[in-house]
Amino acid sequence: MTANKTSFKKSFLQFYKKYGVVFILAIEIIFFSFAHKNFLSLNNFLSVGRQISFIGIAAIGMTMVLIIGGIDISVGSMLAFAGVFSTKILVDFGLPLWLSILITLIMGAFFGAINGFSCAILHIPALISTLAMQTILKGIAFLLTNALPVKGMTKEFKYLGQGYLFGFFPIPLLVMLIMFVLGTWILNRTTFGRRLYAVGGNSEAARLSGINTKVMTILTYAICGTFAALSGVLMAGRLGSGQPSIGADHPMDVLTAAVLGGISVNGGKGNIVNVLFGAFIMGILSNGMVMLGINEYWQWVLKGIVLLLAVTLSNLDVITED
Amino acid sequence: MSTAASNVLEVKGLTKRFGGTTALDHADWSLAKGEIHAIAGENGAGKSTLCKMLAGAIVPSEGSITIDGKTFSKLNPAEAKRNGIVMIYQEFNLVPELPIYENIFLGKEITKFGVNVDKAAMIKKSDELFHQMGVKVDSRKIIADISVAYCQLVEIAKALMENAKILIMDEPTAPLTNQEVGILFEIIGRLKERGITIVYISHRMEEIFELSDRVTIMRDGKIITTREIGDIDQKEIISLMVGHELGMDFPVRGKTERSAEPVLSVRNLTTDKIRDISFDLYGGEILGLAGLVGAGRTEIVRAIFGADKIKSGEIYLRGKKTDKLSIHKAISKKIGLIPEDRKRQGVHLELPILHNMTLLQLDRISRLMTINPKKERAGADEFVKKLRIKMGKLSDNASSLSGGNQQKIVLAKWLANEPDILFFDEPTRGIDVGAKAEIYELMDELRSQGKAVIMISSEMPEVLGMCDRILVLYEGNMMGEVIGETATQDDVMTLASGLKLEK
Repeated sequence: MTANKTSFKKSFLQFYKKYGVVFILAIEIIFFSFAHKNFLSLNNFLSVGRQISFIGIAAIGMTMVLIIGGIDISVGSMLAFAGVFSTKILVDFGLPLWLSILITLIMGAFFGAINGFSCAILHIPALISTLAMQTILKGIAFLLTNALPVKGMTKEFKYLGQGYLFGFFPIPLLVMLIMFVLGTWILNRTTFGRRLYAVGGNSEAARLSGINTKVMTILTYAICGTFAALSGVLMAGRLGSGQPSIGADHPMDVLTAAVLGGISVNGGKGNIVNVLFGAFIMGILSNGMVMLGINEYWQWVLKGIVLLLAVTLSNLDVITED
Repeated sequence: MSTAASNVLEVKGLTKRFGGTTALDHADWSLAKGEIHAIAGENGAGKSTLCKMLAGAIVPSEGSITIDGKTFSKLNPAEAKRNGIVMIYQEFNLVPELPIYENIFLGKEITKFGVNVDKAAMIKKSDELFHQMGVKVDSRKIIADISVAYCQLVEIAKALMENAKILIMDEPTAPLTNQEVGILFEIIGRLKERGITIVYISHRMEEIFELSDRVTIMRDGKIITTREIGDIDQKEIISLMVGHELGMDFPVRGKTERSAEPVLSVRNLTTDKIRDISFDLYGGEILGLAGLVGAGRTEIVRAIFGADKIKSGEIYLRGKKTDKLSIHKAISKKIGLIPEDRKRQGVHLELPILHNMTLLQLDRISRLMTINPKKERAGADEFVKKLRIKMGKLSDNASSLSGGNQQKIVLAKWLANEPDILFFDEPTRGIDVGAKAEIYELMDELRSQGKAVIMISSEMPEVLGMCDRILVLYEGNMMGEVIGETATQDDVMTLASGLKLEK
């Protein structure tokens, strides 16, 4: 009897680990399809795809930070900072678009590296150091703009956020898919990715294998900052201006997408491909709730519950051991 | 009989099994009121297991504990304390940020009107406790600011507060200076006068003879004998601790010529844990580092490998003086370390077997940062065959493997780097006999290939059976060198207990 119970538990865990995220996504799609007649259409999916691309791109960086055993709360203010910074240098200094974006990404890497430095060298807990950075970046974004949106953006910049490839495929969605290919390559095929999992899974064993765990930590946060900055640039294009006040919910959405995708908050574990599904679950949930006319406050309550559920599910093997 | 009446504690058939291993095997034992009772034995003999069951820290698998006529099949820490058993562990149980008196009264604070903490009363009572012990201690000092010796006094004061009738001390003198040991002994003498029974675990022979009334010798989870201290001498204790069965076949050695010049030389190496260590390591030999836990064996190889900070001393690789190594540099200079704690330091349990095995090869098997999966697999397959690793698929997590096979993938990781110098720290701990023999064979093969090998092990037969020479350590100091083929366990144990060999 008990043996049956434990083997059921085990097989459920294995099933959830492998297909849980796809399963949840499928149930969600079926539910909203019945709940609202306009939900199930290609157009709606592409529009959801555009909405989640900002979350999805940042979630790639968050995934890496989670794997190394950290967390990055500052991706929210990075979204705002990168948006206003890239718009401002484009408008005020007349820099070409590609250069504005490049400099913004470098700034993202720089602030990310500071996060990594705080964690690895100063031994400040990741939650604290990136929370501080969240506030610092928010301050900088407001200082740069006097709290006003940065206007005067070029048409090309707006195209990055609002445009379509072949007239139907949203550019941000395309960028996100490319970034997921890049992220998958980094995590699954490069020496850096291997070392990242090694440090996150067992940092002492990694250190004794000659891996410089401090440098790895700094690099990982720098990469996370870069991805977060990229999502900020695209978001500015989408909004048509650099907005200093956005991004408050962003860390929460990004984190939930990664955890839904099976990335362990305890480090060392998780496959990035599933994070893409995690982002879709979040996006479809928002989209469906808006369609059903659920008000925003309830949406916040539900999103919080989803995060708790996602972490619970990813921790099930630990919980069932107690 | 009168002894039964004066026994404060009796243990019958007490047994503890951890998984498949028996840490304590049907122990019958007793303590007389007011005696100082020493327990001696090698690492893993079961001393701590026995004491921890008395203190309620671990639950017995079988048997009973009788305290003052009351019989228990198991104790929890609170019950043990209520019945007067207090254990002082090697790692103290104190809150570093709080003053001494608050630590003594932690959880049993003296209060005014049931709410307000009465500081003055607690300080006064603490001073009284120290007075009883015959020492002067300012009980308002913060724990973090006082020395290890004082921390120990605080632990003893805490025990007195609990009205301890039986005080168990696990190697209390290990961190103390000679003078402090003297003070501790005086205190223990005073506690004895007050009728408190002391159980005293120690590796130091002189202390056992200086202090105790009786000594119990343990080996392999069994109580071998309990004797009056006047009826036994150091030599007999050591030979009883060691036992005399050798249960393992080791590869025949002596076919290989060792290299003319040392591959690795260490001069006056000093860290926090070791002092003035000097030795030479030659190619084609296995050099053993023996000693008790905490003697500094692991610390020597960690210092050379760049894992611990070196205070002073020089390291020469193939005759050339080297700067302090980082782990990364040590690896590139073809040094390898199989660490003692496999799960914490060696293997990545949540990573695939393949990724564990190739962690040191990443740069070799990749181009433009991208790993070539074919090259990776080829390298791994070779070692799976060579080391006869029993596993499912290379993509399974390392946690799916048995201890012995986990150790083999750690070995594969290091062997793939083709090291010239390899440190094995407790390579056979917690693995089955078959895998043990395979690891011995592998070490012998490395020796015959002319590699320089250091082996650290707590298992005496293994050290004697495998090593060409053995350096014996005691509390961070080198006590002497013996030859593996001719040395006896008694020789090594004598040196490891801080004594000189009589020749």
